[in-house]
Amino acid sequence: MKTEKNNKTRNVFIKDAVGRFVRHKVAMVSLCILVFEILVIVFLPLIIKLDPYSSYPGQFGVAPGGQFIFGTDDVGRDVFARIIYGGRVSLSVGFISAIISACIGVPLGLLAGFYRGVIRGIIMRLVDIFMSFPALVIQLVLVMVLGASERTLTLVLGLLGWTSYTRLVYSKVLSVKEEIYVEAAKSTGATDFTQMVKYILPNSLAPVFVTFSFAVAGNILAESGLSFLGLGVQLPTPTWGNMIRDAQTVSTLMYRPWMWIPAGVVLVITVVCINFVGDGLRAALDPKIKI
Amino acid sequence: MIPVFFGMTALVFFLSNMTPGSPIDAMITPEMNVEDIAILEHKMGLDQPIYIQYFKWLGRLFQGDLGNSYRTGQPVIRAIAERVGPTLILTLTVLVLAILVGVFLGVVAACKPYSFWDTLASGLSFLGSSMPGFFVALILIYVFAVKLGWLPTGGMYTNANTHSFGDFSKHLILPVVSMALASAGNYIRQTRSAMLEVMGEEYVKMARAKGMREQVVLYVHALRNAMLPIVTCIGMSVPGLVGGAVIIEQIFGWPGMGSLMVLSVTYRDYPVIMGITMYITIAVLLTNLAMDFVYAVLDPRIRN
Amino acid sequence: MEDTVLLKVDHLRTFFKTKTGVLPAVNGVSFTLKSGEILGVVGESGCGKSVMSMSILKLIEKYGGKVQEGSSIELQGRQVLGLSEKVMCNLRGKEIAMISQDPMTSLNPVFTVEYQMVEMICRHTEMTKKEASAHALFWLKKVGIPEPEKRLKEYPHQLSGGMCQRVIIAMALSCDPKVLIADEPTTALDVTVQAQILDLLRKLRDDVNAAIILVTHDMGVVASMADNIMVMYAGRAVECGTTHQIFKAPKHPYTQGLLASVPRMDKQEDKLYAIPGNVPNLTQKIEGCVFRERCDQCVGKCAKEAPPQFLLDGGQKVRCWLYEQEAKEICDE
Repeated sequence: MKTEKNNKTRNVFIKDAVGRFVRHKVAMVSLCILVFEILVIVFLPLIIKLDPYSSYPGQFGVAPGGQFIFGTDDVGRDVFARIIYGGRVSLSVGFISAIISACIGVPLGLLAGFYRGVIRGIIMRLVDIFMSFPALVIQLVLVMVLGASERTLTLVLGLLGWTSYTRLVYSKVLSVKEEIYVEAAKSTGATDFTQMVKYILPNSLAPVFVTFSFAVAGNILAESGLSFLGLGVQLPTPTWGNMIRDAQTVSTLMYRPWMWIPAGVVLVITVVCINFVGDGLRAALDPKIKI
Repeated sequence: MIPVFFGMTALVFFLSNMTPGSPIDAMITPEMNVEDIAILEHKMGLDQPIYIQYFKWLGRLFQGDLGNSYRTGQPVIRAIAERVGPTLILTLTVLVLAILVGVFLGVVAACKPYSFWDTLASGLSFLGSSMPGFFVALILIYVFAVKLGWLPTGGMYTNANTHSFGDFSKHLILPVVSMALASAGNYIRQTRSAMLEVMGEEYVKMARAKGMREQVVLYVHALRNAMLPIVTCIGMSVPGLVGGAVIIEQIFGWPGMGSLMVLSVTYRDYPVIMGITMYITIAVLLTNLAMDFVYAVLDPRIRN
Repeated sequence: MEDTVLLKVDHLRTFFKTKTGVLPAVNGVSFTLKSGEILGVVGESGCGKSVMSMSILKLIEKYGGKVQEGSSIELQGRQVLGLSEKVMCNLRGKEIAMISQDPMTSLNPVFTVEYQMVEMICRHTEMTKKEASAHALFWLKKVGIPEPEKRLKEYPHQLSGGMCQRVIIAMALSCDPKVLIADEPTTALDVTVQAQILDLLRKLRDDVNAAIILVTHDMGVVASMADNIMVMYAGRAVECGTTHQIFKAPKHPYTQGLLASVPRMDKQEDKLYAIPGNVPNLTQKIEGCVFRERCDQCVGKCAKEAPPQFLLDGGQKVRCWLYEQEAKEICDE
């Protein structure tokens, strides 16, 4: 009966939260932009013919116009096609690595908050250690050791990004653990695992979604940074980061802005929108914040 | 602090062992057989248990022995020493600028919510967290160096003959601004929310009721208390700052440790890479120590 | 004892603009305060007592409230509401001081007691830091703090709740204000400490002849402290009179309810009496008397028209239609 009451309270809470999110105009607009973007990236190649890999003979470094909406790059490839396909890579790396981090970080946070003592000590020390490292440096080293590719990049970003989840879930668990319904569950003989998964976890989850969206944005930026350095996703696979890399040559920077500016703009818009959605989630889930 | 130190150095050591190649590769000649190699390994201490190797490695570290660069053959420590200065100047300038701009704008935004300043501060903050430093750098170069020609496109000095402060400053501007945008954005957001929270506290109301002028209430009573979470945020942003320096130095050809890092990664120069990582680790640990000290100064409640 | 009028509040109205409408937190409150007088302002949470205190100090604007045109607050004959913020800052702490509900959070945790007291003394007087420090020490002794030299150098977290409140009282009185607003000064303290603090306030009032506005929800506190009492409900004064009058013969049904709610040692009671219902939502316009829904003595007129304050024999004022007949006159609203 206590769980029923809690389920009902939770449903009301979710409804309230959704309502608050919808009223957050900026977040809604950003969400629409993102959904549109994802739809284009996923479905456009199925509708029209887009080839990011082939060079069009004789069409090196052509300015936008006619057949090529964003022109071609130095090797004659369609920039627009590369942006669409690059989006697939950048977004999937961002999302999947954030999911991996969550899968590592959330359980660790649960364990640290639930068991305290030595386990908490070890886990939180690990958090301190990982958070103290400059992310980019460790990413570079790991990528160097494991080889640079879309897959290793996703893995590396996933393996290094778990600390924010752990910290968050840990503090949430600490407060939820003291709630009456958890004590009630314990007294009716629920195992540790049941307590954690059935009672504590669902009530600690809300901020995880906020962290998740910011993590996706952060990972997209991290991937583009590494690819920009040439140490991320390797050519010919396009990603927004390695497309901007071309701008490092002065001639491209000055005379062929279509090769790098669109990729950068799309990157910034995507990250801004994800950040706004994350902000909207944060406002929606915390009733104290005024919208 | 101590466990974190050992944890971090152990991680670096572990990573360096993962890199292909071993210190004796350069010494193995074709005439050697397995036993000779074993003797060599024993001489180099490579057959000892891993934790012994770790402590020996730590010991060598404190004596300044980081090995030799695969690329240049020079001691790693010398390569780092040459490059430390420019990186320190860059990161410290960024830190100071970002703190000044970020905290100031954050305070103003908190005191005048929904005003022009608040919108400016929030906008800047968002831009800072969403625009990658390298893209900002490229746009800035495009606008200010290429199109307008006001500032140089890279390097630390124009050439060997122009080592003046003015020339140096001109070269410093774009890299610093590129990096400071992201950091300032972060500090603005933290300061604003910390100030807003503090301004609702009872002691701020009491300070006003005492008849203290609003400026004193804000900058002495409120800000002092808001500084605690702000300082935490600044401390936690230092690792990110270091990472950002890598990309920015690369773009601007700034002769610091960041560009050395990229160069070494390209050449698979593991000793240098590990040396830089080690250096950064120690720098971050020192920063954490400094932060703890700053907390004790700021918050009397911690001093017991 | 001189009987000069120190504070004269007329038709004070303070409102807040909220998403759901305009909230009139204080809706036409008038009273006078003479030197040496302790005025007890009693009412439930949310009746507007604290907003009224903040309005008198002109601090409410920093917290989102606005004092309506037509309100008047006169401090020693001087109209406060027209003053600039600069002048107001000089008045606060010097002419009129305030102490708040939670002593532990009213002191800035990062500064010593000495710093916070000296800061205020130097602000309002010409004393040097050293003189101010000595003056602070004098006041700490006066409020009965043991080992005052030690306490002066300590931080708020090293003091107990009762000691913090003594420090705050010392600080508030250190610049010799004429009026002290004590907003629930004992609510956050233990009962034994409460009694000590109230004794202290009474003693200080006798010493310096200051006037005190004692805001509280506790009838027991006003019984022992106040000379006059103003009962507030939903932003309005519903009954005013001397303490003796209010306790001996409470007229307004709300006052009667408040007194009936106080648990008594000399009666056998099975159930504690509580006034039924809740404070109404003030953002919505209320027809008639604002206490109507919870009143067990209301008549037909109560639903149609809001009663004015009636002046009765002996100086008691009641805002209730039941006393329309016996009223000497209607107080100007």
